[in-house]
Amino acid sequence: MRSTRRVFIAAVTAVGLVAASCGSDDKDSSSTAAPTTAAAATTVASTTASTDAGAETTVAGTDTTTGETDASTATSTDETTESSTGASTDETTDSSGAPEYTLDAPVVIDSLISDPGGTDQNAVADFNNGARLAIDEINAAGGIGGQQIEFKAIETPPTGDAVVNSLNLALEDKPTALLGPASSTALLAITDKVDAAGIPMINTTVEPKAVHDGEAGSQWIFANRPSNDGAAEVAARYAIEELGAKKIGLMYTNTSFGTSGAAAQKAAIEAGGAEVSADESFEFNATDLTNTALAMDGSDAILDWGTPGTVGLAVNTLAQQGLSDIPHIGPGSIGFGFFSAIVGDASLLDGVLGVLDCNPIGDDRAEAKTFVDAYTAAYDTPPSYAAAEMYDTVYILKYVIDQAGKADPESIRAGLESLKGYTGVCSDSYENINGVLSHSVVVAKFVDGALETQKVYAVG
Amino acid sequence: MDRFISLFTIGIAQGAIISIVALGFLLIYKATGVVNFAQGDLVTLGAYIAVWLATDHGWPLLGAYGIAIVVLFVVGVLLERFAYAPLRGRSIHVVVISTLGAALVIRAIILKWKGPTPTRLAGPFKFDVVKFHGARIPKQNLLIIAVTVIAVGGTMLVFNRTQFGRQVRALANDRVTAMLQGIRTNRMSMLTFGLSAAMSALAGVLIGPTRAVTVDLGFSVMLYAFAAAILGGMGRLGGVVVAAIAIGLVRQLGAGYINADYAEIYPFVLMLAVLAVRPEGLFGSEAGARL
Amino acid sequence: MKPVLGSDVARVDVGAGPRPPVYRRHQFVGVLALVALASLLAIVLDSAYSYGLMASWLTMSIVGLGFYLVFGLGGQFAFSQAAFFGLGAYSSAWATRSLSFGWGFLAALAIGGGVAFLFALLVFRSSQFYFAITTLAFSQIALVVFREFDAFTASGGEIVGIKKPDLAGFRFDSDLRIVWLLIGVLAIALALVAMIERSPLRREALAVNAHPTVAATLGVPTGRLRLLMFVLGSCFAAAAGSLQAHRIGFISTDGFSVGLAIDIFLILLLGGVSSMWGPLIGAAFVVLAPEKLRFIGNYRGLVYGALLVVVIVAFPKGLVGLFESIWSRVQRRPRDARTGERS
Repeated sequence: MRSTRRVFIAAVTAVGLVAASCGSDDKDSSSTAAPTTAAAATTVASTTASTDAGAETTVAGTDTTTGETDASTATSTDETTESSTGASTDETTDSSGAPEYTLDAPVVIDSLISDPGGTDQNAVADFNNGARLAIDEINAAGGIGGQQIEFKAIETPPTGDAVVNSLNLALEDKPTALLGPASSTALLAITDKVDAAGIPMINTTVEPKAVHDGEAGSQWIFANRPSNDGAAEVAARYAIEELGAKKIGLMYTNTSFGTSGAAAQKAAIEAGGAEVSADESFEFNATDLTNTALAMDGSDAILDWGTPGTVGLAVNTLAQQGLSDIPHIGPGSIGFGFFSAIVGDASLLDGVLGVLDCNPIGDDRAEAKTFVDAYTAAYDTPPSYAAAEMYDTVYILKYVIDQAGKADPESIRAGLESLKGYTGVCSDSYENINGVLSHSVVVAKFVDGALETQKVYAVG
Repeated sequence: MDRFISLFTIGIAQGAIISIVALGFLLIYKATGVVNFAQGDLVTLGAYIAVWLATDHGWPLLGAYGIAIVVLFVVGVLLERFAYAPLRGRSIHVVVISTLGAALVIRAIILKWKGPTPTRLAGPFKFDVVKFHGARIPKQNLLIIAVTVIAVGGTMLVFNRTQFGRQVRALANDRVTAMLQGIRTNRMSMLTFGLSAAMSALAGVLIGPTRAVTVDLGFSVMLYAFAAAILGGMGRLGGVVVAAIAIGLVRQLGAGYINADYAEIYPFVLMLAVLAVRPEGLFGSEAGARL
Repeated sequence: MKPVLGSDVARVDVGAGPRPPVYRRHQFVGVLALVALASLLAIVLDSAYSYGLMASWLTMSIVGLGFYLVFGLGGQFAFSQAAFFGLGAYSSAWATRSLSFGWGFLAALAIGGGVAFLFALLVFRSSQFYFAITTLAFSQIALVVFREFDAFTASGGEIVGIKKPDLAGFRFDSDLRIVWLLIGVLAIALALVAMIERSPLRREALAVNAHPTVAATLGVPTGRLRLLMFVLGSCFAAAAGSLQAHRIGFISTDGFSVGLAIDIFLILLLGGVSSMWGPLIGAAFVVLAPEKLRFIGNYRGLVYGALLVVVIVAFPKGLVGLFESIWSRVQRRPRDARTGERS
């Protein structure tokens, strides 16, 4: 090609790229919904009067149970503005007696979780959508302290030094709080910087090194998911106590998620008087599990701490080897929609159990039902536990700010640190223990293609 | 014993898949001298097209497989036209990098089209197994082995006994002289790329049912296929097939009897060990082909 | 054996008139200019975000320079650069469990160089293409070993709490200080490459690349040359890996995967495979593009792939080649009659 033509091509490309990058701001979809009416501004935090008489009675003396449930009835906008209806006079001063207050700047929440459609292949929409639903509801009801919440989702790769770049970008917004990341390698890369920056961060991983007294822990970092070891133990306990298993086969990925979970399970099995009849590890992207499946022959129950891909493969392989009668308990990620697609055959899916953070669709409580309806209406798909947790997290932040009457980092941190007995959609008792806020899990079983809750457990 | 039989047949089946991909890769290499780094992503693309037709739109399986193979043939020809033909006169490094670029493009297209969540391709046998001496062998694996035998046999026949095969061998030997002899090199290139892509699609629809279908489906197979091609010496088709089977067996038996944690790398260690002793590969004749 | 393409030819007076393109000048001036530019940037920029980007750019430039030695000069298609980057990182993290950063850095160089040397010896007699695939195999093996070999790496290949660099008591614990450290290391790396560029090594390497058989008959030690370039280039990668590990404080196997290897390819190709300045430009692109073009989203793979193809087809000499052709056009230097290149 002649060099003039080359120069021309280069120039055009360069101009195009520059124009494109200058033209678009990487402002992501911030869900700043305009407040419905101006009157909403006068009413604070727990804006809405409860339409649910049942919930109202629990208001006295307890925390923002109502505040949180009411917000989910966003459709009842009438209520939101006239919070001074009758019995709810208490509501105007916030259910737990904190005084009215106003903030002097918008609340900025940045999420270090990628939306799908970016470069992160494993991005799932649930996290940010759960947060957005809560933020839209809160903003519609007047925001926090009279200020709207500004939300930005910053694309964060799951690993590598670019994670630090995403964090730095977020910090430039001077955020009030950070949400995420959703990947533990991304989290571990930035714990020391978050600590140095002094911004409270609520991540959605189960990374044990990042708890307050962990190797990479920080007083500023909290997790909204129950601990991996706790969930793994529950699998073992369920197998022993509910299924009466005496010989339990363990299979797990050779990542820290899998090995740590398996270790917790072994301890629980021994403590429960049963024995470990098989102990097989495999790579997280394993493509053949026949070896592993064969080893499970003769077990009363199989605890499978793998990825959705490997658990799906395991379900199929066990069926091939004629072992599909053995109860098969997997981790929480089987709660994500694509797991059933991986298994493929509905008849194989039924009977598979999992230890999920929570199961909103199968939850009978009123707040869960309203959340599921609102989420499904907004996003055309039922929510997973990830969406519920993020929804709760935003409301927890609101609660903490309301309690303190201010939104500076230290107050929020202190508020999170002393969080206790908070009822949300996913867990009905959030409490900070060593940086972990969620302490309950649910054992659910696939019945007719949908997850049915079998039993709720509390974990440490 | 039944465990051994199980692992053995899986190893053979996996080796069979690797050999199909390796043959496809070797076909291009022999005809044009190009190392096609897009081979793995062609496998993935074939599987995804079948998924789209069969899983998403409910087409009958064989029809879906067939269409996937035909579509990939066309993709192969397009690949030749866009990533190879314009670079005909240039150094081979350039062409190889161009195929690398093509691989990224194909992968990105798949991601954009079907998204990153894993999906599933149904096979004709579901979970049926054949019982043999206490071992349960999935019928899909037997199908893979059978189809591979046919494919390999067919390829070797074409290569050694037909006009087309002779022309490809002539091209491989000396392109310029082949042109002088009147061989339509352009058309040959397109045909070989197309056939190679079709073979990749075949491999894709064969392994699709055995695991979750993701964008990385073809990549690891491609790595092992390269290892097989080199181990086998890049020259003789038969040698490459033997090497591919060896790789499949080493991986499964190594995982079963040595240490499952390091299973992925046994084939590579084998390849390095052989190359250290015999740099031209097990059955290679030249001291490796000059890139 | 003293190569014929050696010192005699170097003493030819190349002052006036068109000189063959194989000679280049002013490398050290270029190094100084770059150091000055980088220092200026470091002083002018003042946000953590900019420092982070700049540090990434400097680190990837070092890796790219190493790859220039391996591929640009040595002519070896190698996928191992990312693996050596990782090896350097893990070695340094392992050594600094009990020793100071200086020793960690040296450990990275020693282990990286040693493994590169042994590996190259092992597959020494293979042809170029075989060598390329063996480096691919090597990187896969390396990833699995990082993940499994717990004594060397931590469980699962994830290491937290890697200390910030410190030399003789001076701690590089702020973003800015780390940028200075990286500028220093890059300057050393550039100086090394500049020395190679000015030495007969470069001409020999080019000869081996273009006409290996002829070069061999002229007595150029082709094998040893390639080995040297490979080991040296891998050492650069290992050094950069060590710096990266201590800067971020955390490493995991995902950070050294094939994606990184492809990025390294892109760095050199985009910048210019035949120039020592290529990696700097390429690294700037690879670091800045994902940040500034976040809106591209998951078209990124598409863009990178298409870019790779377009660059290789239209701009074989990369951006550096582009600048050079513009520059020489501006200068209106006479073309060399035979090669058509301007001097």
